[in-house]
Amino acid sequence: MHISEGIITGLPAAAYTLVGLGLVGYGAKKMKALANEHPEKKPLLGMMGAFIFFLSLLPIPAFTGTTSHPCGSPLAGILLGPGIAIALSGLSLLLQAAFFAHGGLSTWGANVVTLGVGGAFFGWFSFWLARKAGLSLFVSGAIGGLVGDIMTYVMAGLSLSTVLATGPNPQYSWGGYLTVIYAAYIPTQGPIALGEMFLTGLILNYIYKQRPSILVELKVITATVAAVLMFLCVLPPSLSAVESEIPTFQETSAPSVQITGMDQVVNESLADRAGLPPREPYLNIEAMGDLWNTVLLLGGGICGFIIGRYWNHLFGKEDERTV
Amino acid sequence: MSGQYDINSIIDSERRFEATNGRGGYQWDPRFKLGLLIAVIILNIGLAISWLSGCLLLIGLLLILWSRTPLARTLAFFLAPLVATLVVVAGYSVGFGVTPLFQFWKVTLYHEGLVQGIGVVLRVYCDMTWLALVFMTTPFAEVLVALRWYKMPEILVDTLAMMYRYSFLLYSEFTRMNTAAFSRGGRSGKMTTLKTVSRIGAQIFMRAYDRSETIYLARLARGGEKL
Repeated sequence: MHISEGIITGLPAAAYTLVGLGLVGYGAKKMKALANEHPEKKPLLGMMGAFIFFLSLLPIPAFTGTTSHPCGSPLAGILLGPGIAIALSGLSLLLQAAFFAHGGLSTWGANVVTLGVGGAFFGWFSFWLARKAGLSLFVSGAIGGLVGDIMTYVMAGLSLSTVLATGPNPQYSWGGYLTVIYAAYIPTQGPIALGEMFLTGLILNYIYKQRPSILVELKVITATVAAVLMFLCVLPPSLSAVESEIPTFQETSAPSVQITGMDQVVNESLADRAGLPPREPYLNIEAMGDLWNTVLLLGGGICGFIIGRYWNHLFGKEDERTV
Repeated sequence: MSGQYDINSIIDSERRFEATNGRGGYQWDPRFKLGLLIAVIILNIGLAISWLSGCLLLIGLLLILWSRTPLARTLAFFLAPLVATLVVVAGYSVGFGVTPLFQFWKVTLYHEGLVQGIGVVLRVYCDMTWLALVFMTTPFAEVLVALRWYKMPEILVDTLAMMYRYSFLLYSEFTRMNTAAFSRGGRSGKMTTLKTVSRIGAQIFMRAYDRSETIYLARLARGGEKL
């Protein structure tokens, strides 16, 4: 995902560096504002930067028999907001260029644009849209990870094709270079994008399950949403199936049609024809309503307890059974 | 790009300094080295003249040899961009030019494209040489001091310092947890591996979050932070 040192030259390199400095400067302002407002969160910025750097070293299966590394910036954008994530991505790129020869200083600006804008901003934005649409945390995180990863490569492809098309003696048009670059990206980076999709969604989900307060403090989810989600998690599935208040079918001017069951339509009509009209049931379950369901539930619970208590007697080995 | 990222192998410039009695680039002021690096990059990338890039590459290589930087780490700087550079050279040779050199089936290599590709190689390795020279011969703490001298915002320098300190710690924690998970069958398939790596990643994040609070309180207790 990193554009190597020396690939972009001249005015494009200068322009990208200026843009990168501007983006990181904006992120630094956000960081400073956060540190001034909450001094106890200042070390958090460093730790989050370290986490982003660590994410870019994480080996994930690339589904092509090898491992690769996620961008990390979509997850950073979701957790910290796009501004701070862009600045931290810029710092992470500096460390990677200095110590691992990954990327470079002349392409630092272009890499900040691809990873910061493409990864962090679009990852955060798609996550935000998905949450607004009411999707779950895992699905929203997965969408954020996927879109952020894809947009990283989209932006990298756009940068490279622009540089190549404006070079001397180009053989192809801008669109031609773009097509070739994306065609080269798809088989290798497509599986990585899928891996990052799952990684981002799963990480957010696991953090939420273990420590939802962290996501609330970082404003990834609101306290209300966290409380609602936690309530739904502990609610039994049968009770959580609430009737929707939004009607799925609206009757207009047509008269209401009474829906009858098989008993009335088939059995009763057959009985009438045979001259044997149906009588009232001995136990009118329908009139009992929820009381009958409760009786069944209690009965099932008692039977289950008895079976469980004497499981060994019923299904255990001979030597486990007590006489 | 996998393996053990031990902080000791990254900051061995201090040990090297002691071992070589401060030869070559080790003797120079970090501010001068950073300024020189920026100047070389501007000349190399800004002007993009092949012979200039070649001369700067040669000077950088001589300085590296004089400084006797760690061989393995220096080679890593040269090997890291190799594949990407070769791809770019191949792409330039095929995608740029008017004078055909060689044709194979429907693929034509052009003279001008090849020359541009060689120019790319010179530029890439010139920058890599100088990056290796500066960062192999300068302890990172001194790099941070130099960045402060160059008026880099304080918040960014502090964050960079903390990132440098804790990135490797987090990665070593991940490696331990990953090894434990591997020994317990946590990497028995692709989806299992993803779930395991995600769980560990989430744990690392939560540890980093808690650690940041501890760091703040420790700094507060030692007068490093204002109340």
